[in-house]
Amino acid sequence: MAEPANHRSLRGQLLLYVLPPMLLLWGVNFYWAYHSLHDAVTRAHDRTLLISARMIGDRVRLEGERIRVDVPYVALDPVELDTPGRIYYQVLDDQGYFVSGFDDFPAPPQNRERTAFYPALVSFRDVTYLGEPLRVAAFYQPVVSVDGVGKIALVQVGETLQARQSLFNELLTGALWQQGLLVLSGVLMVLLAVYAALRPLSELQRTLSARARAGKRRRIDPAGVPTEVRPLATELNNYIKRLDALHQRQRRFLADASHQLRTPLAVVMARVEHALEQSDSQQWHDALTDTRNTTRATIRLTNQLLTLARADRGGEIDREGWQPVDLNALGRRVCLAHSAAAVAKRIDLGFEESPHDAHINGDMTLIHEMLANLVDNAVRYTPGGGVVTLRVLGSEAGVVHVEVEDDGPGIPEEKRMRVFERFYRLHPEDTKGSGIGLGIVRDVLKLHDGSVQLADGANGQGLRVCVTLPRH
Amino acid sequence: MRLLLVEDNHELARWLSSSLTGDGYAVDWLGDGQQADQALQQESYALVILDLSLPGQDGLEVLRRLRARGQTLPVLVVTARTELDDRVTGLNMGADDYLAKPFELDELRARLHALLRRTQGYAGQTLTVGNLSFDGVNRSFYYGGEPLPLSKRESALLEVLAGRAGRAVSKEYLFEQVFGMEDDVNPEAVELIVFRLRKKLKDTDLTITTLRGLGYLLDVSNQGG
Repeated sequence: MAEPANHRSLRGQLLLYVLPPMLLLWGVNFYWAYHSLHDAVTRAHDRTLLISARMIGDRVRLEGERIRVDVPYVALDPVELDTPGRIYYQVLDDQGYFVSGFDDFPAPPQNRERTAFYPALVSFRDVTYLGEPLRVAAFYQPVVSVDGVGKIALVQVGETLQARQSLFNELLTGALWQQGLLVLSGVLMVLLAVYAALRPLSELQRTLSARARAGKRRRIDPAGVPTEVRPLATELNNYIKRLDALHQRQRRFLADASHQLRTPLAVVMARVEHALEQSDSQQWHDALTDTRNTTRATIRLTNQLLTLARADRGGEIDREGWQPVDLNALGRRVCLAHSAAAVAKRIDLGFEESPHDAHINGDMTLIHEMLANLVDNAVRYTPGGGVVTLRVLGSEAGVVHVEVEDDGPGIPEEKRMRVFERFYRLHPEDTKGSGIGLGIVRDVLKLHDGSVQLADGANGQGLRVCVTLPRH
Repeated sequence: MRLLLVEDNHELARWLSSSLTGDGYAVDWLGDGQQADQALQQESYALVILDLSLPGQDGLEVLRRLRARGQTLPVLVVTARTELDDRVTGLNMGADDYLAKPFELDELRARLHALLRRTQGYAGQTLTVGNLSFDGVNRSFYYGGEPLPLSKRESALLEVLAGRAGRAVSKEYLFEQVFGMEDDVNPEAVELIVFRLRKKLKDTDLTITTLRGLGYLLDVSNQGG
């Protein structure tokens, strides 16, 4: 069976449906993880930065009018200890005069929005200092002296980003690995599931190919396949059954046909060889005449066998190639074609067309062959001086009847069923007939859902074959 | 008269050309579609007998190209493919007649005659059935050498029947051939002419048989006794 080239395998298709969404989900997930990790790392580090700032703020005191600060080195530790990062600070008084730290530290912007996470007077921002990006915590520290004078100092602590960056990288890498593993195991599971789900199909395929190799009529056990595949298995079984039946019919046909065709060839061979052994030209002439007659019969037989093979669609109605067929016109054509033979035999071959519409739908060639066989049989078996009539009756709505009536010897009632069998001959000694003419009639009718009846001819003499064809 | 026989089976072609040559035709035989196509462009033939299954170029293609060139010579298609489709295709493509293999030589001869008459008329030809002969030049019938006195319509009808002697001719066809497009003529008029013809052929070896519901057939009557 030829498969369309653009059909991927089921496995491939399932993966195609599952993999891209999974990769997309991975991407979305990564985007979310990136941002939430970044937020978390920033918040954690901001807290330590604020602690450092507060530790410095705690040491701010008033000496008279002036603000002083002793920066504890421990305040700078939390950052400097664990990373290659550096920390910078600056303390200013409320007039903006430098108190301690790095005097060129960038000043805080005015009216900065404060974050909701920290109390008022605290703010965070990103700056660039000495060519390096810094995260800066700034807050205002109220300073009250013993004698009650109050002032406000601005404390700023800046930290280089290496520490948070390395933590962020570490966390992100971990998250990526985790998610990657998750996606990978997801894909593996999908593959496994696909493989497991498709296994019944593979088994079905193995069964079928084993069947083909063994040439056996092995059927698929529908109970042994999953529910979803069961209709397929059942249908396959039906198909196999039809195929087997067709195969058998073809074998029988071949056997029949070879017998039927070899016999006349053997007759010709024997006749010709016998003539070659003679020397009398009259005998040669007789042999040639006989040979021509046998060949003529063999030609007819071959045509009939081919028609039979063509009509065999496994007993099913197959409307391929059907067309409107006017039985009035076809009946006339068939009669005209046989009239010379009838006249030579002094048989009155007549045609009676229907005054009604006699169109049906069907296979023109086969219906033509069927009618030709009926008329041929009638002319063949009716003695000289007899009457043969083909009659089309089209007055009924759903069907058209065609009758072929003769006043020949007829067929005894008890043998009427048997004459439709292939190669059945009413008179076995009669070698003119092929024995398949009526077989063709039966097969063509079966193909068109029609029927045939055999009855006595007019006045109880001869035979009347009545064929009924649905108009479809 | 020169015929082209296009047939790839050598043996069949050999005996066919031999028989047709014996009939007085000049027969050119080619077994290849391409060669046939060439020959049809270069030579002048009265008729082509064309097989459909050919090497080189399919017979239907040869036919299609022939008609595409505007050549009108009659084509008799001969094929072993007996499906009606082929027949319809062949006739649609411009074949003039169709014969299924295997056929009898007499059948082929009859078709050839009919086709050639249709395209060339009886000019210079004499048509003979039994002792009856038709002179195509002065369009008159003779029986045993003696002129047969026939009316114009009787003669026209007998001409059609004699042209297809031994084969059935439908009443409708006879009517068309004899009366053409004439109005006010009853189709039964054919029966009257046949009745008169029968009377005039009573003492001859010819019989016009009535085929019930079909038409008529002219034949030499000594066969049936």
